[in-house]
This record gives sequence, structure tokens and C-alpha cells, in this order.
Amino acid sequence: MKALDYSKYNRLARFVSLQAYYTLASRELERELIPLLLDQQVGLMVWSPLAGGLLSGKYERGKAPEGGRLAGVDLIPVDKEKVFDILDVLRPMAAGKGISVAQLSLAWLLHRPAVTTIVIGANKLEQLKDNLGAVEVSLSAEEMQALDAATRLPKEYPGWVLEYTMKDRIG
Amino acid sequence: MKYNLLGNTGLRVSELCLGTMTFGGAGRFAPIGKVGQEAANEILKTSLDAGINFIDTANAYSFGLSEEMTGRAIRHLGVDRDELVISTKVYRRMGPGPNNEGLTRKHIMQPAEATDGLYRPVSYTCVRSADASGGDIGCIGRPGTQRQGAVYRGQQPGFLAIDEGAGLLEI
Repeated sequence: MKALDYSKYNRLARFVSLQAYYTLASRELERELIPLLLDQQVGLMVWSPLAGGLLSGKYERGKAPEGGRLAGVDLIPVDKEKVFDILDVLRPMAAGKGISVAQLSLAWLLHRPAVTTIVIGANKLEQLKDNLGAVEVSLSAEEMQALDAATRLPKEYPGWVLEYTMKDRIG
Repeated sequence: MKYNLLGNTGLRVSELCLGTMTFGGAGRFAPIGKVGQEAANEILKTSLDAGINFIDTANAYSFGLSEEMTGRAIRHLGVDRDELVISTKVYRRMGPGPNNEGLTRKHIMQPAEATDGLYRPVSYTCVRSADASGGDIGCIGRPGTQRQGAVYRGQQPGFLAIDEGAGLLEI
């Protein structure tokens, strides 16, 4: 925000986009940055939309990863148990729609406000083709609600108090 | 494939963006991917056929190799470069020594200088994108890529005064 204002008041070029980590497995971006992006009309390029591959569908509870990026790089600090709980919701929903878990995870992002584009990378062509299929997936309000309920962030200050006081406002 | 407005730029970018961190596989990037040139060509072709017009890379990805391979793939396919929006990022270490990383003007401009002016920054194709853990500025050229967007990383703002960063966004 400081940089955006600096650019604005000095009539300089400004940041036009944020590249950030945002996924069903980690929605922290929604706390402060997404409201900022929407307010300031800054784009959002999402990186690691499948949480470093955890939401690709090839990792399972209790099984050590074979190959795959997680076997070599374990950079993203996500609670894997929590992710496996999310996968328990994603698997049946994806199966019911005849799509992959990865496609469902990407489609959720494509249905979220502020997301301009999702950066997808691939080692294998099959993986890429699967991911590309996400643009054809549409999610109903009920499906979005179910995904939201399974992945919602815990309440944190000052978010919860703002939510509480906002109830006083009309309209 | 939908084409969304990127921030307030008026640019339309595909809702999926091809990430190229898997290209090359040099050094610390080996566990992430070791996609060779031929496979990279195929990945790019599949992406473009699906409607992608947006590609993201970084000079640090395999220490320049990813940018070069991306450029070679574009030329190999004979794609009209003007149809594409390419963003790249700068900040991470590119070699030994105290100045081979970071957001000093020197480190940001070096990749452009490395091409002997052959690949001049062209502002209208620039995408300026901030990375939540890093970011985006200006334009960096590397052989084969001709021209592209660039990067400014906000991770350690102390390393770059905001006014210097904003100045570089004008590149």
C-alpha cells in the first residue's frame, strides 16, 4: 500500500499485479491482501495453486510421496493433516463431477474474486492437460459453500471484531 | 479460456498462466523440475493451443535457463511475440558475490545489460507485478526472449528504497 501511494502521489508507474500464494489449503491472502487488491484494482497472479502439489490428488494420508515435487522440496509450511482433511471433501466432490481433484482446486480459485490468473507449471504434459481442463469446470453456489466450509480460515483479530461491529451498519 | 483484465492496465491475460519454474533444472531447481527444451516446446504449444497468452518466468529459475528456454520455445513455435504477455521476476541470487542478488538497480539491470542492448525493454509489454514473497518490476531481456515484463520483490523492502523501485517500474 505504501508503494502504491508513493507511485500515485509522485505520478510514477505503480505495481499492477501481485503474485501470491493462494490455495484451498492456505487462504491467508484473504485476510488483508485480497481486500487491498480489490480496493486498489491490482491484479492477482496466483502461484502454487495446488499447495506445492499437495492438492494434485497424488498424495495420500500415511503414504510417503514417490517422485513428485514434494519428495524433493517441502518448502510450503502447510499442516498436512489439515490438507488431508480437505482432500477428504475434495475427492468425493471431484469424483461426482467427473473431474480431477486438481481441476476442482483450480476451479475454486477461478471462481474467487480478485483472482486474475493462476500460474500453473508442469513437469509432464498429462499434468498440464489435466490442469488446463479446469477452465471448463463450473461450480454451483452449494459446491462453493461446501468448499468454503471445509477450508475457511479460523477467526483472528482484528477481523472478528470488524465483522462484529459491521453488524451495526445499515446496508 | 477467459481473458481477464490485469489490474488497471487494460491488458487481457488468460485466466491460466503458464509457469516455467520446471524448465531447466539447474542447481537448487533440480527437485522442482528438469524439463528439457523439447518438452518445454511441447508444454508451451499445448498451453497456447488451449488459449493461454500469459507466461511467467524468473531470472533465478535455473539461473537464467528458464528465461532462455522460454524464449527459445516461443521462437521454435514461430509464435507472434506480440500476442503474448510475459512476466519475469528478479531478486533471488544468480551467482556468487555480495551483489548477485537483491533489488539494487545494479542487480535488476544486469540481465538487461547482459544482452548487449539486443533485447531492449519495451514498456508496453511490461507487466509489473509484486510478489507477496517477492515481486516484479520493469523489463529484462535475455537472449531468445526479446522483451518481457519484469519484477520487483517486496519481501525485503529495506533492500530497495521505494523511490528507486518506482523509478525502475518506468523501464
